[in-house]
Amino acid sequence: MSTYLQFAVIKFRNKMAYRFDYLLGILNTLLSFVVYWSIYKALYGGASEVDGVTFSMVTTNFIISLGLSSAFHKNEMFLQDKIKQGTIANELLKPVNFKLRMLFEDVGEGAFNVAFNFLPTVVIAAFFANLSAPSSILNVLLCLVSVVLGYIVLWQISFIVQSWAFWLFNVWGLITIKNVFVNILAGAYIPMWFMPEWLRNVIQFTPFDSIYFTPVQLYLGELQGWEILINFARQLLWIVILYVIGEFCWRRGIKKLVVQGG
Amino acid sequence: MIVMKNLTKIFPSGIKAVNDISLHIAKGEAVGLIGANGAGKTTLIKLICGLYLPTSGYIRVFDENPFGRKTKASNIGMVTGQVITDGYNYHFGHGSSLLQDDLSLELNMELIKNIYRIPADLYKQRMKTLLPQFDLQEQLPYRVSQLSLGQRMKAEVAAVLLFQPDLLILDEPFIGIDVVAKETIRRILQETVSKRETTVILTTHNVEELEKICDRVVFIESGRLVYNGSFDRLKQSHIGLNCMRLQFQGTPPDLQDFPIERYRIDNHTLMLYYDNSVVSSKDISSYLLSHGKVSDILIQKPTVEEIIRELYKEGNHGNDN
Repeated sequence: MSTYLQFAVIKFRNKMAYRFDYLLGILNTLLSFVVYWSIYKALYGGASEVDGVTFSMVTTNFIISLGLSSAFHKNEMFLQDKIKQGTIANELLKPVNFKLRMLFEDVGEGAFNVAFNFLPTVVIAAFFANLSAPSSILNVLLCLVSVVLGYIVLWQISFIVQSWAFWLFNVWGLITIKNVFVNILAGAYIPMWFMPEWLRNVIQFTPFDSIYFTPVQLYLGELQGWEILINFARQLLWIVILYVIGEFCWRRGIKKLVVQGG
Repeated sequence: MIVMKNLTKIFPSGIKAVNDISLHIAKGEAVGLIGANGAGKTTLIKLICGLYLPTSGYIRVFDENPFGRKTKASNIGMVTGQVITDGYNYHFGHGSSLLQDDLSLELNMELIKNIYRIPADLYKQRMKTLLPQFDLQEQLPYRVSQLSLGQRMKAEVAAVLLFQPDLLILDEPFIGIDVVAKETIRRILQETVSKRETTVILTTHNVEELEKICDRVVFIESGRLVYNGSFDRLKQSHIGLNCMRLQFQGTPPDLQDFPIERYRIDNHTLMLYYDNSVVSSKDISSYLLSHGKVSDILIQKPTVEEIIRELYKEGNHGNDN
Protein backbone atom coordinates (compact mmCIF):
# COMPACT_ATOMS: atom_id res chain seq x y z
CA MET A 1 0.00 0.00 0.00
CA SER A 2 2.85 2.38 0.76
CA THR A 3 3.80 2.17 -2.92
CA TYR A 4 0.44 3.61 -3.89
CA LEU A 5 0.49 6.20 -1.15
CA GLN A 6 3.82 7.30 -2.60
CA PHE A 7 2.09 7.99 -5.93
CA ALA A 8 -0.20 10.41 -4.11
CA VAL A 9 2.73 11.96 -2.25
CA ILE A 10 4.71 12.46 -5.46
CA LYS A 11 1.76 14.17 -7.18
CA PHE A 12 1.18 16.33 -4.13
CA ARG A 13 4.83 17.38 -4.01
CA ASN A 14 4.78 18.12 -7.73
CA LYS A 15 1.79 20.42 -7.30
CA MET A 16 3.53 22.05 -4.34
CA ALA A 17 6.53 22.80 -6.51
CA TYR A 18 4.33 24.66 -8.96
CA ARG A 19 1.75 25.90 -6.45
CA PHE A 20 1.65 29.45 -7.79
CA ASP A 21 0.35 28.07 -11.08
CA TYR A 22 -2.78 27.08 -9.23
CA LEU A 23 -3.53 30.32 -7.39
CA LEU A 24 -5.99 31.30 -10.08
CA GLY A 25 -7.89 28.11 -9.33
CA ILE A 26 -9.04 29.67 -6.05
CA LEU A 27 -10.45 32.63 -7.97
CA ASN A 28 -12.27 30.24 -10.25
CA THR A 29 -13.87 28.31 -7.40
CA LEU A 30 -14.67 31.50 -5.55
CA LEU A 31 -16.26 33.05 -8.60
CA SER A 32 -18.62 30.16 -9.26
CA PHE A 33 -19.51 30.15 -5.57
CA VAL A 34 -20.28 33.87 -5.60
CA VAL A 35 -22.43 33.50 -8.72
CA TYR A 36 -24.65 30.79 -7.19
CA TRP A 37 -24.62 32.44 -3.79
CA SER A 38 -25.83 35.75 -5.31
CA ILE A 39 -28.57 34.07 -7.31
CA TYR A 40 -29.94 32.34 -4.23
CA LYS A 41 -29.52 35.48 -2.15
CA ALA A 42 -31.78 37.27 -4.61
CA LEU A 43 -34.20 34.35 -4.66
CA TYR A 44 -34.42 34.35 -0.88
CA GLY A 45 -35.01 38.13 -1.01
CA GLY A 46 -34.23 38.54 2.68
CA ALA A 47 -36.41 35.66 3.82
CA SER A 48 -34.74 33.65 6.57
CA GLU A 49 -35.94 30.33 5.26
CA VAL A 50 -37.79 28.71 2.38
CA ASP A 51 -39.53 25.37 2.88
CA GLY A 52 -37.59 24.95 6.13
CA VAL A 53 -34.27 25.47 4.38
CA THR A 54 -32.30 28.44 5.71
CA PHE A 55 -30.14 30.58 3.47
CA SER A 56 -27.03 29.61 5.40
CA MET A 57 -27.85 25.94 4.71
CA VAL A 58 -27.96 26.76 1.00
CA THR A 59 -24.70 28.67 1.26
CA THR A 60 -23.08 25.74 3.06
CA ASN A 61 -24.39 23.35 0.42
CA PHE A 62 -22.74 25.40 -2.30
CA ILE A 63 -19.43 25.79 -0.54
CA ILE A 64 -19.22 22.02 0.03
CA SER A 65 -20.53 20.81 -3.32
CA LEU A 66 -19.03 23.46 -5.62
CA GLY A 67 -15.83 23.61 -3.58
CA LEU A 68 -15.38 19.88 -3.60
CA SER A 69 -16.31 19.50 -7.25
CA SER A 70 -13.37 21.68 -8.20
CA ALA A 71 -11.10 20.14 -5.59
CA PHE A 72 -11.97 16.52 -6.34
CA HIS A 73 -9.37 15.76 -8.92
CA LYS A 74 -9.81 13.29 -11.70
CA ASN A 75 -7.46 13.27 -14.62
CA GLU A 76 -10.28 12.66 -17.05
CA MET A 77 -8.33 12.50 -20.29
CA PHE A 78 -5.67 10.22 -18.83
CA LEU A 79 -6.91 6.94 -20.25
CA GLN A 80 -7.91 8.40 -23.60
CA ASP A 81 -4.52 10.06 -24.05
CA LYS A 82 -2.69 6.84 -23.25
CA ILE A 83 -4.87 4.84 -25.61
CA LYS A 84 -4.64 7.39 -28.44
CA GLN A 85 -0.89 7.79 -28.12
CA GLY A 86 -0.47 4.03 -27.97
CA THR A 87 1.51 4.37 -24.76
CA ILE A 88 -1.07 2.42 -22.77
CA ALA A 89 1.12 -0.63 -23.49
CA ASN A 90 4.05 1.00 -21.72
CA GLU A 91 1.81 1.73 -18.76
CA LEU A 92 0.54 -1.83 -18.57
CA LEU A 93 4.09 -3.11 -18.55
CA LYS A 94 4.82 -1.37 -15.28
CA PRO A 95 4.60 -3.71 -12.30
CA VAL A 96 1.85 -1.80 -10.51
CA ASN A 97 -1.93 -1.88 -10.63
CA PHE A 98 -2.84 0.66 -13.28
CA LYS A 99 -6.19 1.67 -11.80
CA LEU A 100 -4.98 1.97 -8.24
CA ARG A 101 -2.04 4.03 -9.37
CA MET A 102 -4.34 6.31 -11.35
CA LEU A 103 -6.62 6.68 -8.33
CA PHE A 104 -3.82 7.51 -5.93
CA GLU A 105 -2.24 10.01 -8.27
CA ASP A 106 -5.61 11.75 -8.48
CA VAL A 107 -5.92 11.56 -4.68
CA GLY A 108 -2.55 13.29 -4.38
CA GLU A 109 -3.67 16.13 -6.62
CA GLY A 110 -7.05 16.20 -4.91
CA ALA A 111 -5.40 16.53 -1.51
CA PHE A 112 -3.42 19.46 -2.83
CA ASN A 113 -6.58 21.05 -4.20
CA VAL A 114 -8.39 20.61 -0.89
CA ALA A 115 -5.52 22.26 0.97
CA PHE A 116 -4.76 25.05 -1.49
CA ASN A 117 -8.06 25.60 -3.25
CA PHE A 118 -10.99 24.35 -1.18
CA LEU A 119 -9.84 25.53 2.27
CA PRO A 120 -8.77 29.04 1.13
CA THR A 121 -12.11 29.37 -0.68
CA VAL A 122 -13.97 28.44 2.50
CA VAL A 123 -11.96 30.93 4.56
CA ILE A 124 -12.50 33.75 2.06
CA ALA A 125 -16.19 32.93 1.67
CA ALA A 126 -16.65 32.93 5.45
CA PHE A 127 -15.90 36.68 5.47
CA PHE A 128 -18.92 37.65 3.41
CA ALA A 129 -21.25 34.66 3.34
CA ASN A 130 -23.05 33.30 6.33
CA LEU A 131 -21.92 29.68 6.52
CA SER A 132 -23.61 27.26 8.89
CA ALA A 133 -21.45 26.02 11.72
CA PRO A 134 -21.21 22.21 11.87
CA SER A 135 -23.77 20.73 14.23
CA SER A 136 -21.05 18.92 16.18
CA ILE A 137 -17.45 17.69 16.02
CA LEU A 138 -18.77 14.17 15.43
CA ASN A 139 -20.69 15.47 12.44
CA VAL A 140 -17.54 17.00 11.01
CA LEU A 141 -15.77 13.64 11.31
CA LEU A 142 -18.70 11.78 9.76
CA CYS A 143 -18.76 14.37 6.99
CA LEU A 144 -15.04 13.84 6.29
CA VAL A 145 -15.52 10.07 6.00
CA SER A 146 -18.41 10.55 3.60
CA VAL A 147 -16.38 13.08 1.59
CA VAL A 148 -13.77 10.36 0.99
CA LEU A 149 -16.47 7.84 0.04
CA GLY A 150 -18.15 10.45 -2.17
CA TYR A 151 -14.85 11.05 -3.94
CA ILE A 152 -14.45 7.33 -4.68
CA VAL A 153 -17.98 7.25 -6.11
CA LEU A 154 -17.23 10.27 -8.32
CA TRP A 155 -13.85 8.91 -9.39
CA GLN A 156 -15.31 5.60 -10.45
CA ILE A 157 -18.03 7.24 -12.55
CA SER A 158 -15.26 9.13 -14.28
CA PHE A 159 -13.21 5.97 -14.74
CA ILE A 160 -16.13 4.14 -16.34
CA VAL A 161 -16.71 6.91 -18.88
CA GLN A 162 -12.96 7.16 -19.54
CA SER A 163 -12.70 3.44 -20.20
CA TRP A 164 -15.04 3.81 -23.17
CA ALA A 165 -12.05 5.33 -24.95
CA PHE A 166 -11.12 1.74 -25.79
CA TRP A 167 -14.05 1.70 -28.22
CA LEU A 168 -14.80 5.34 -29.01
CA PHE A 169 -12.50 7.66 -30.85
CA ASN A 170 -13.03 10.53 -28.46
CA VAL A 171 -14.68 10.50 -25.04
CA TRP A 172 -14.17 14.18 -24.28
CA GLY A 173 -17.74 15.03 -25.25
CA LEU A 174 -19.14 12.25 -23.11
CA ILE A 175 -17.04 13.36 -20.17
CA THR A 176 -18.37 16.90 -20.49
CA ILE A 177 -21.96 15.66 -20.61
CA LYS A 178 -21.28 13.38 -17.66
CA ASN A 179 -19.91 16.28 -15.63
CA VAL A 180 -23.01 18.39 -16.27
CA PHE A 181 -25.22 15.46 -15.27
CA VAL A 182 -23.22 14.76 -12.15
CA ASN A 183 -23.15 18.38 -11.06
CA ILE A 184 -26.90 18.81 -11.54
CA LEU A 185 -27.99 15.49 -10.08
CA ALA A 186 -25.51 15.70 -7.21
CA GLY A 187 -26.96 19.04 -6.15
CA ALA A 188 -23.98 21.23 -6.98
CA TYR A 189 -26.06 23.70 -9.01
CA ILE A 190 -29.49 23.32 -7.40
CA PRO A 191 -29.57 22.23 -3.77
CA MET A 192 -31.22 18.83 -3.42
CA TRP A 193 -33.87 20.29 -1.08
CA PHE A 194 -35.35 22.37 -3.89
CA MET A 195 -35.54 19.57 -6.42
CA PRO A 196 -39.03 18.40 -7.31
CA GLU A 197 -40.21 15.45 -5.28
CA TRP A 198 -40.25 13.05 -8.24
CA LEU A 199 -36.68 13.97 -9.23
CA ARG A 200 -35.42 13.43 -5.71
CA ASN A 201 -37.09 10.04 -5.73
CA VAL A 202 -35.29 9.17 -8.94
CA ILE A 203 -31.95 10.49 -7.69
CA GLN A 204 -32.30 8.29 -4.62
CA PHE A 205 -31.75 5.31 -6.88
CA THR A 206 -28.62 6.80 -8.46
CA PRO A 207 -25.12 7.27 -7.03
CA PHE A 208 -25.23 11.05 -7.54
CA ASP A 209 -26.62 12.24 -4.22
CA SER A 210 -24.00 10.25 -2.33
CA ILE A 211 -21.22 12.38 -3.85
CA TYR A 212 -21.83 15.81 -2.27
CA PHE A 213 -25.23 15.75 -0.68
CA THR A 214 -24.51 13.05 1.89
CA PRO A 215 -21.50 15.01 3.21
CA VAL A 216 -23.61 18.20 3.25
CA GLN A 217 -26.39 16.50 5.21
CA LEU A 218 -23.91 15.00 7.68
CA TYR A 219 -22.22 18.35 8.18
CA LEU A 220 -25.50 20.09 8.87
CA GLY A 221 -26.64 17.29 11.17
CA GLU A 222 -29.69 16.56 9.02
CA LEU A 223 -29.21 12.83 9.40
CA GLN A 224 -29.82 11.01 12.64
CA GLY A 225 -29.08 7.50 13.93
CA TRP A 226 -30.08 4.91 11.38
CA GLU A 227 -30.17 7.47 8.58
CA ILE A 228 -26.43 7.97 8.98
CA LEU A 229 -25.78 4.25 8.64
CA ILE A 230 -28.13 3.95 5.68
CA ASN A 231 -26.38 6.80 3.90
CA PHE A 232 -22.94 5.32 4.50
CA ALA A 233 -24.26 1.95 3.33
CA ARG A 234 -25.56 3.60 0.15
CA GLN A 235 -22.18 5.17 -0.52
CA LEU A 236 -20.44 1.84 0.00
CA LEU A 237 -22.97 0.00 -2.13
CA TRP A 238 -22.42 2.44 -4.99
CA ILE A 239 -18.67 2.09 -4.65
CA VAL A 240 -19.04 -1.69 -5.06
CA ILE A 241 -21.50 -1.46 -7.96
CA LEU A 242 -19.43 1.15 -9.81
CA TYR A 243 -16.28 -0.84 -9.14
CA VAL A 244 -17.81 -3.92 -10.75
CA ILE A 245 -18.95 -1.92 -13.80
CA GLY A 246 -15.57 -0.19 -14.04
CA GLU A 247 -13.69 -3.49 -13.81
CA PHE A 248 -15.94 -4.99 -16.45
CA CYS A 249 -15.28 -2.11 -18.89
CA TRP A 250 -11.57 -2.06 -18.08
CA ARG A 251 -11.10 -5.79 -18.59
CA ARG A 252 -13.08 -5.79 -21.80
CA GLY A 253 -10.96 -2.88 -22.97
CA ILE A 254 -7.71 -4.65 -22.14
CA LYS A 255 -8.99 -7.79 -23.82
CA LYS A 256 -9.75 -5.77 -26.93
CA LEU A 257 -6.27 -4.30 -26.75
CA VAL A 258 -4.41 -7.60 -26.51
CA VAL A 259 -6.45 -9.28 -29.22
CA GLN A 260 -7.15 -6.45 -31.65
CA GLY A 261 -4.14 -4.31 -30.92
CA GLY A 262 -4.05 -0.63 -30.24
CA MET B 1 16.50 -14.92 -22.96
CA ILE B 2 13.77 -15.04 -25.55
CA VAL B 3 12.56 -18.02 -27.58
CA MET B 4 9.92 -17.80 -30.31
CA LYS B 5 8.67 -20.63 -32.46
CA ASN B 6 6.32 -20.04 -35.37
CA LEU B 7 4.93 -17.01 -33.62
CA THR B 8 1.98 -15.46 -35.41
CA LYS B 9 -0.24 -12.52 -34.63
CA ILE B 10 -3.22 -11.93 -36.88
CA PHE B 11 -5.39 -8.93 -36.09
CA PRO B 12 -9.16 -9.22 -36.57
CA SER B 13 -8.82 -7.03 -39.65
CA GLY B 14 -6.93 -9.94 -41.22
CA ILE B 15 -3.53 -8.30 -41.14
CA LYS B 16 -0.76 -10.76 -40.36
CA ALA B 17 1.39 -8.36 -38.37
CA VAL B 18 3.71 -11.14 -37.26
CA ASN B 19 3.82 -14.15 -39.51
CA ASP B 20 5.45 -17.41 -38.46
CA ILE B 21 8.52 -15.94 -36.81
CA SER B 22 11.03 -18.21 -35.09
CA LEU B 23 13.78 -16.46 -33.23
CA HIS B 24 16.18 -17.00 -30.36
CA ILE B 25 17.78 -14.16 -28.42
CA ALA B 26 20.36 -15.08 -25.80
CA LYS B 27 20.93 -13.31 -22.51
CA GLY B 28 23.13 -10.25 -22.88
CA GLU B 29 22.74 -10.12 -26.63
CA ALA B 30 22.01 -6.88 -28.47
CA VAL B 31 19.68 -7.34 -31.38
CA GLY B 32 18.69 -4.71 -33.91
CA LEU B 33 15.15 -5.15 -35.11
CA ILE B 34 14.59 -3.47 -38.43
CA GLY B 35 12.01 -3.20 -41.12
CA ALA B 36 9.90 -0.58 -42.83
CA ASN B 37 7.07 1.15 -41.00
CA GLY B 38 4.24 -1.30 -40.57
CA ALA B 39 6.52 -4.31 -41.00
CA GLY B 40 5.51 -5.70 -37.63
CA LYS B 41 8.37 -4.59 -35.39
CA THR B 42 6.20 -2.99 -32.74
CA THR B 43 3.77 -5.92 -32.79
CA LEU B 44 6.68 -8.28 -32.22
CA ILE B 45 7.86 -6.13 -29.32
CA LYS B 46 4.40 -6.10 -27.81
CA LEU B 47 4.23 -9.88 -28.11
CA ILE B 48 7.55 -10.11 -26.27
CA CYS B 49 6.20 -7.82 -23.57
CA GLY B 50 3.04 -9.89 -23.25
CA LEU B 51 0.87 -6.99 -24.31
CA TYR B 52 -0.59 -8.88 -27.26
CA LEU B 53 -2.11 -12.31 -27.26
CA PRO B 54 -0.40 -14.42 -29.95
CA THR B 55 -2.75 -15.95 -32.51
CA SER B 56 -0.58 -19.04 -32.66
CA GLY B 57 2.94 -20.17 -31.93
CA TYR B 58 5.17 -20.38 -28.92
CA ILE B 59 6.90 -17.62 -27.02
CA ARG B 60 8.94 -17.66 -23.82
CA VAL B 61 10.62 -14.69 -22.23
CA PHE B 62 12.84 -15.55 -19.28
CA ASP B 63 11.29 -19.05 -19.33
CA GLU B 64 7.86 -17.54 -18.86
CA ASN B 65 4.92 -17.14 -21.15
CA PRO B 66 4.82 -13.34 -21.28
CA PHE B 67 1.08 -13.28 -21.76
CA GLY B 68 0.39 -15.44 -18.73
CA ARG B 69 2.39 -12.99 -16.68
CA LYS B 70 -0.58 -10.65 -16.85
CA THR B 71 1.50 -7.99 -18.54
CA LYS B 72 3.26 -6.87 -15.40
CA ALA B 73 7.00 -7.06 -15.50
CA SER B 74 9.65 -5.42 -13.41
CA ASN B 75 12.45 -7.01 -15.44
CA ILE B 76 11.42 -5.50 -18.76
CA GLY B 77 12.09 -1.90 -19.59
CA MET B 78 10.67 -0.28 -22.69
CA VAL B 79 11.42 3.11 -24.16
CA THR B 80 9.32 4.30 -27.06
CA GLY B 81 10.10 7.28 -29.18
CA GLN B 82 7.99 7.75 -32.25
CA VAL B 83 5.52 9.93 -34.00
CA ILE B 84 2.48 10.06 -31.83
CA THR B 85 -0.98 11.35 -32.38
CA ASP B 86 -3.21 12.79 -29.73
CA GLY B 87 -6.31 11.99 -31.73
CA TYR B 88 -6.60 15.46 -33.19
CA ASN B 89 -3.24 16.35 -34.63
CA TYR B 90 -0.28 14.39 -35.75
CA HIS B 91 2.88 15.76 -34.32
CA PHE B 92 6.39 14.66 -33.70
CA GLY B 93 7.00 13.76 -30.20
CA HIS B 94 7.82 10.98 -27.88
CA GLY B 95 4.99 9.00 -26.49
CA SER B 96 5.87 9.05 -22.85
CA SER B 97 7.00 5.56 -22.03
CA LEU B 98 8.24 5.96 -18.52
CA LEU B 99 8.13 9.63 -17.70
CA GLN B 100 5.08 11.67 -16.90
CA ASP B 101 4.77 15.00 -18.69
CA ASP B 102 3.41 16.98 -15.79
CA LEU B 103 5.95 15.83 -13.22
CA SER B 104 9.39 17.31 -12.72
CA LEU B 105 12.27 15.09 -13.79
CA GLU B 106 13.31 14.58 -10.17
CA LEU B 107 9.84 13.42 -9.13
CA ASN B 108 9.67 11.24 -12.23
CA MET B 109 12.82 9.49 -11.12
CA GLU B 110 11.31 9.01 -7.67
CA LEU B 111 8.23 7.62 -9.36
CA ILE B 112 10.39 5.04 -11.15
CA LYS B 113 12.07 4.25 -7.85
CA ASN B 114 8.64 3.68 -6.36
CA ILE B 115 7.20 1.63 -9.22
CA TYR B 116 10.21 -0.65 -9.51
CA ARG B 117 10.86 -0.72 -5.77
CA ILE B 118 14.48 0.37 -5.97
CA PRO B 119 16.09 0.48 -2.51
CA ALA B 120 16.96 4.03 -1.40
CA ASP B 121 20.74 3.56 -1.31
CA LEU B 122 20.84 1.91 -4.74
CA TYR B 123 18.66 4.69 -6.09
CA LYS B 124 21.03 7.37 -4.81
CA GLN B 125 24.03 5.56 -6.15
CA ARG B 126 22.56 5.03 -9.60
CA MET B 127 21.29 8.60 -9.86
CA LYS B 128 24.80 9.78 -9.02
CA THR B 129 26.25 7.92 -11.98
CA LEU B 130 23.38 8.26 -14.46
CA LEU B 131 22.70 11.99 -14.19
CA PRO B 132 26.21 13.16 -15.12
CA GLN B 133 26.44 10.48 -17.80
CA PHE B 134 23.37 11.89 -19.47
CA ASP B 135 24.18 15.47 -18.48
CA LEU B 136 20.80 15.86 -16.85
CA GLN B 137 21.67 17.32 -13.43
CA GLU B 138 20.45 20.75 -14.41
CA GLN B 139 17.15 19.42 -15.69
CA LEU B 140 16.01 17.81 -12.42
CA PRO B 141 13.63 20.57 -11.27
CA TYR B 142 11.98 20.98 -14.67
CA ARG B 143 8.80 19.37 -15.81
CA VAL B 144 9.39 16.72 -18.43
CA SER B 145 7.12 18.61 -20.83
CA GLN B 146 9.56 21.53 -20.62
CA LEU B 147 12.54 19.44 -21.72
CA SER B 148 13.77 19.40 -25.29
CA LEU B 149 13.21 16.26 -27.29
CA GLY B 150 16.85 15.26 -26.89
CA GLN B 151 16.86 15.87 -23.15
CA ARG B 152 13.61 14.02 -22.85
CA MET B 153 14.86 10.96 -24.65
CA LYS B 154 18.03 10.99 -22.56
CA ALA B 155 15.84 11.17 -19.48
CA GLU B 156 13.75 8.24 -20.71
CA VAL B 157 16.83 6.09 -21.20
CA ALA B 158 18.25 7.20 -17.85
CA ALA B 159 14.95 6.26 -16.23
CA VAL B 160 14.94 2.81 -17.76
CA LEU B 161 18.54 2.20 -16.71
CA LEU B 162 17.65 3.30 -13.20
CA PHE B 163 15.86 0.03 -12.51
CA GLN B 164 18.27 -2.05 -14.58
CA PRO B 165 15.89 -4.34 -16.42
CA ASP B 166 17.08 -7.71 -17.70
CA LEU B 167 15.46 -6.95 -21.01
CA LEU B 168 15.73 -3.48 -22.45
CA ILE B 169 13.55 -2.63 -25.42
CA LEU B 170 14.14 0.58 -27.31
CA ASP B 171 11.59 1.34 -30.00
CA GLU B 172 12.90 4.09 -32.29
CA PRO B 173 14.77 5.97 -29.57
CA PHE B 174 16.67 8.18 -31.99
CA ILE B 175 13.78 9.76 -33.86
CA GLY B 176 13.89 13.52 -33.99
CA ILE B 177 16.72 14.08 -31.53
CA ASP B 178 19.91 16.05 -32.02
CA VAL B 179 23.33 14.59 -32.74
CA VAL B 180 24.75 15.24 -29.28
CA ALA B 181 21.88 13.56 -27.47
CA LYS B 182 22.00 10.72 -29.96
CA GLU B 183 25.67 10.19 -29.28
CA THR B 184 25.20 10.27 -25.54
CA ILE B 185 22.44 7.68 -25.67
CA ARG B 186 24.40 5.53 -28.08
CA ARG B 187 27.54 5.63 -25.96
CA ILE B 188 25.69 4.62 -22.81
CA LEU B 189 23.81 1.87 -24.61
CA GLN B 190 27.14 0.57 -25.90
CA GLU B 191 28.42 0.47 -22.31
CA THR B 192 25.29 -1.34 -21.18
CA VAL B 193 25.63 -3.89 -23.95
CA SER B 194 29.33 -4.45 -23.26
CA LYS B 195 28.55 -5.60 -19.72
CA ARG B 196 26.54 -8.48 -21.24
CA GLU B 197 24.01 -8.45 -18.42
CA THR B 198 21.14 -6.79 -20.22
CA THR B 199 19.47 -8.16 -23.31
CA VAL B 200 18.82 -5.29 -25.68
CA ILE B 201 16.32 -5.10 -28.50
CA LEU B 202 16.61 -1.96 -30.57
CA THR B 203 14.48 -0.84 -33.46
CA THR B 204 15.77 2.03 -35.51
CA HIS B 205 16.14 3.25 -39.05
CA ASN B 206 19.52 4.62 -38.21
CA VAL B 207 22.22 2.36 -39.61
CA GLU B 208 25.14 3.95 -37.77
CA GLU B 209 23.59 3.61 -34.33
CA LEU B 210 22.45 0.11 -35.07
CA GLU B 211 25.89 -0.91 -36.20
CA LYS B 212 27.57 0.52 -33.13
CA ILE B 213 25.20 -0.97 -30.60
CA CYS B 214 23.98 -4.30 -31.95
CA ASP B 215 25.68 -7.62 -32.65
CA ARG B 216 22.90 -9.01 -34.72
CA VAL B 217 20.28 -7.80 -37.14
CA VAL B 218 16.78 -9.15 -37.46
CA PHE B 219 14.94 -7.84 -40.46
CA ILE B 220 11.19 -8.12 -40.77
CA GLU B 221 9.15 -7.44 -43.86
CA SER B 222 5.36 -7.72 -43.90
CA GLY B 223 5.45 -9.66 -40.66
CA ARG B 224 7.97 -12.21 -41.92
CA LEU B 225 11.50 -12.71 -40.75
CA VAL B 226 13.63 -11.99 -43.78
CA TYR B 227 17.14 -11.79 -42.44
CA ASN B 228 18.60 -12.90 -39.15
CA GLY B 229 22.34 -12.69 -38.93
CA SER B 230 25.45 -10.95 -37.78
CA PHE B 231 26.19 -7.39 -38.64
CA ASP B 232 29.63 -8.32 -39.86
CA ARG B 233 28.30 -10.28 -42.76
CA LEU B 234 26.10 -7.39 -43.79
CA LYS B 235 28.96 -4.99 -43.45
CA GLN B 236 31.28 -7.08 -45.55
CA SER B 237 28.78 -7.33 -48.28
CA HIS B 238 27.25 -3.90 -48.41
CA ILE B 239 28.02 -1.25 -45.88
CA GLY B 240 30.75 0.94 -47.24
CA LEU B 241 29.17 0.83 -50.64
CA ASN B 242 27.58 3.92 -52.07
CA CYS B 243 24.17 3.88 -53.58
CA MET B 244 23.45 6.08 -56.58
CA ARG B 245 19.92 6.49 -57.72
CA LEU B 246 19.29 7.98 -61.12
CA GLN B 247 16.06 8.94 -62.76
CA PHE B 248 16.19 8.79 -66.55
CA GLN B 249 14.02 10.11 -69.31
CA GLY B 250 14.14 7.07 -71.52
CA THR B 251 16.37 4.02 -71.14
CA PRO B 252 19.44 4.17 -68.94
CA PRO B 253 22.72 3.69 -70.85
CA ASP B 254 24.87 0.58 -70.56
CA LEU B 255 27.40 0.56 -67.70
CA GLN B 256 29.34 -2.66 -68.22
CA ASP B 257 32.78 -1.02 -68.21
CA PHE B 258 32.44 0.22 -64.63
CA PRO B 259 33.27 -2.04 -61.66
CA ILE B 260 29.80 -1.78 -60.17
CA GLU B 261 28.97 -4.18 -57.31
CA ARG B 262 25.34 -4.51 -58.29
CA TYR B 263 22.62 -2.60 -60.06
CA ARG B 264 18.89 -2.68 -60.48
CA ILE B 265 16.57 -1.05 -63.00
CA ASP B 266 12.98 -0.20 -62.15
CA ASN B 267 11.21 1.50 -65.05
CA HIS B 268 13.36 4.57 -65.59
CA THR B 269 15.16 4.42 -62.29
CA LEU B 270 18.65 2.98 -62.09
CA MET B 271 20.05 1.94 -58.70
CA LEU B 272 23.80 1.42 -58.52
CA TYR B 273 25.78 0.01 -55.62
CA TYR B 274 29.52 0.59 -55.90
CA ASP B 275 32.64 0.92 -53.78
CA ASN B 276 33.76 4.53 -53.89
CA SER B 277 37.40 3.54 -53.46
CA VAL B 278 37.25 1.38 -56.59
CA VAL B 279 35.24 3.66 -58.79
CA SER B 280 34.48 7.29 -57.97
CA SER B 281 31.02 8.80 -57.91
CA LYS B 282 32.35 11.52 -60.17
CA ASP B 283 33.36 9.10 -62.94
CA ILE B 284 30.07 7.22 -62.88
CA SER B 285 27.88 10.28 -62.78
CA SER B 286 29.76 12.18 -65.49
CA TYR B 287 29.60 9.10 -67.74
CA LEU B 288 25.88 8.70 -67.17
CA LEU B 289 25.14 12.40 -67.53
CA SER B 290 26.85 12.47 -70.90
CA HIS B 291 25.36 9.18 -72.17
CA GLY B 292 21.75 9.41 -71.00
CA LYS B 293 19.03 11.89 -70.22
CA VAL B 294 19.24 12.12 -66.45
CA SER B 295 16.42 14.00 -64.75
CA ASP B 296 17.40 13.37 -61.14
CA ILE B 297 20.39 12.03 -59.27
CA LEU B 298 20.83 11.00 -55.65
CA ILE B 299 23.92 9.55 -54.00
CA GLN B 300 23.73 8.13 -50.51
CA LYS B 301 24.89 5.40 -48.19
CA PRO B 302 22.39 2.57 -48.52
CA THR B 303 20.17 2.06 -45.50
CA VAL B 304 20.23 -1.29 -43.79
CA GLU B 305 16.77 -1.96 -45.12
CA GLU B 306 17.91 -1.38 -48.68
CA ILE B 307 20.89 -3.65 -48.23
CA ILE B 308 18.84 -6.42 -46.77
CA ARG B 309 16.14 -6.05 -49.34
CA GLU B 310 18.84 -6.40 -51.99
CA LEU B 311 20.18 -9.49 -50.27
CA TYR B 312 16.72 -10.91 -50.03
CA LYS B 313 16.01 -10.34 -53.70
CA GLU B 314 19.11 -12.27 -54.58
CA GLY B 315 17.82 -15.22 -52.62
CA ASN B 316 20.84 -14.82 -50.42
CA HIS B 317 18.89 -14.76 -47.19
CA GLY B 318 19.02 -17.19 -44.35
CA ASN B 319 20.33 -17.76 -40.88
CA ASP B 320 24.00 -17.78 -40.26
CA ASN B 321 24.20 -17.75 -36.51
